[in-house]
Amino acid sequence: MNRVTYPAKTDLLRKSAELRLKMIATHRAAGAGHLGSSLSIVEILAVLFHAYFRWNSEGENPNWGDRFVLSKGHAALGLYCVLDEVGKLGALDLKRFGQNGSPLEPHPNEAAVPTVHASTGSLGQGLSIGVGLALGSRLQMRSDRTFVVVGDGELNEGQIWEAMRSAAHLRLSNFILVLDDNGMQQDGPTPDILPVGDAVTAFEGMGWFCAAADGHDTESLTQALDTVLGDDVDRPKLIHATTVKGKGIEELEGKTESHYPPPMSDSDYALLAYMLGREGLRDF
Amino acid sequence: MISSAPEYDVILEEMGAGNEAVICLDAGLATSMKTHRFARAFPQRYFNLGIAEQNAVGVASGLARRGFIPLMHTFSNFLTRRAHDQMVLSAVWPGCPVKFIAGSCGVFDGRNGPSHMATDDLATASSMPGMMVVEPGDLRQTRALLDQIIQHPGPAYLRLRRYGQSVDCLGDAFNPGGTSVIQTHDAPQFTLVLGGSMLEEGLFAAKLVQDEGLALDILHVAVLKPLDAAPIIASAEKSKCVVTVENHIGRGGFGESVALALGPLGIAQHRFHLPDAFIPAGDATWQLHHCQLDAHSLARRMLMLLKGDSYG
Repeated sequence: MNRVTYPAKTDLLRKSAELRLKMIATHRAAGAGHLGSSLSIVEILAVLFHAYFRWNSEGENPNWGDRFVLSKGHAALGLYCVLDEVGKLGALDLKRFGQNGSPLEPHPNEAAVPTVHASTGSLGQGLSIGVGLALGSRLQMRSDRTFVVVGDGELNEGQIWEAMRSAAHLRLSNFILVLDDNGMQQDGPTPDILPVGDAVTAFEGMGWFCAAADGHDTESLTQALDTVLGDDVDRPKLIHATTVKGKGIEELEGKTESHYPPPMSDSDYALLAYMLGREGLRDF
Repeated sequence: MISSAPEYDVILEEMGAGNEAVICLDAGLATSMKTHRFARAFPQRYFNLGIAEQNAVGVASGLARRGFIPLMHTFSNFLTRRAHDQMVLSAVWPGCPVKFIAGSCGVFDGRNGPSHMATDDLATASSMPGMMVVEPGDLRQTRALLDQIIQHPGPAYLRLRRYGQSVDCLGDAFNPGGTSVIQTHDAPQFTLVLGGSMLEEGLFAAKLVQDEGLALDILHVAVLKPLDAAPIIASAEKSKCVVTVENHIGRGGFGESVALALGPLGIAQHRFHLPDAFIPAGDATWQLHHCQLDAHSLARRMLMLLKGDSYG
């Protein structure tokens, strides 16, 4: 069993709705932030942290345990919210996100937030850090996993392709990369700015095991994670998650403006909270 | 004085034997960086990550986050120029104990020309907050400093002269902590501060100027950051004149660090360093002379400064 627990489908749906609302509320309190990029990975974060992630237990070697690297560090808002959801933000207050001098910086800082496993923000670096973390686990003879989330825009960075080859060559079976493919980057659609072609085929060509998922469907994500974690070949795993930037706010969905939008109005927030509440409780 | 004693490859292997957390990483220049003995002795702790320096630095930082002590080997230019952002953000910002072993620094390794030699790497490395920066002057120091940076809890940069290091230029003056006082005089006319790999050439220059009747204090700095400035200041207060010599451009190297320490004291300083230019490819002897940093040029420049006349 790869999962720590096995939350009911409706539970993950509800947790995703709560997480989405928490991100929007945190963004509203801060008055700014990379909301669209965070909303793109709501379900990915909810499924990973509520159903799969294994934290170090008390007193265990601090170098052990699963690790999570948000390579698309500008979605730190989303990461802090899910850490808060799973009780791993300690005394840090989400209301301080983005404030002057706050540990909850717009890009993750591991020196400021102990449960952030890698400082990121300069795109393309998280995958390489993840390769090192996964290699470290193997040297420790541990089964700890390293999860990394990259965005499709981030695939523009050359270092990603260096790391991709490296993970495959090292046969890092404990390395799980989630590609948050929302098709967008700061300046517009990725295919218009700098296309990345068929990235999944490229990963497969390098020796990765790949699975596809609807990145906003918790069941699809769960299936994909079970599939890749069940792969018994020594090779790194990719989940290609198709997502929508700004997911959950209709006027932002798939829009360039979703990257760094203004805070949502009181009335819109109240309506969204009501709708998400209903969606989260919907029975399948 | 070319060494028949253990070179870097043997020293590195010893470090691997002494600490199981040490991991050796290469970025496609293993034969140049002399890591083969470590690779043979500890294959499970050796990884050649290919000609991909940015990734290699990131991988090193990930290993460090798992409690290992990665020694990341490649040429100084490929580290501090190509992988600068990765050094700063993946490794140094979080304080990861990655140890950067940088070969091909300055004029002792310039046969391949400007694309393969860094003359500015000390400036870059020492500008990174929390980075320890060292440049040994001989093999004895190389061993001591490699051991020291492995023990150091944070990131460190070791500037390695790959060829022609002498075994021991310092004798009893050796101070593994950083600044060695090689010679003191009751009334020195100037303080000669030799940076890193300029130790042996500088000592020869010092001998030449002393033969001409000048009295001087001689110090060697192996740890650029954090700089142990106290012995330099103590000598400078006697001599009121400091000459620094380094295998690096003027900005951001030994001379500038000494200047920062001396600045408030109003003591005169003359800096002998690499020119603000790309140095043509050549062997060490040619490049030292080209940059007026060979012993005879150094001696002549010191005599011109202090006696106003020419040497030789």
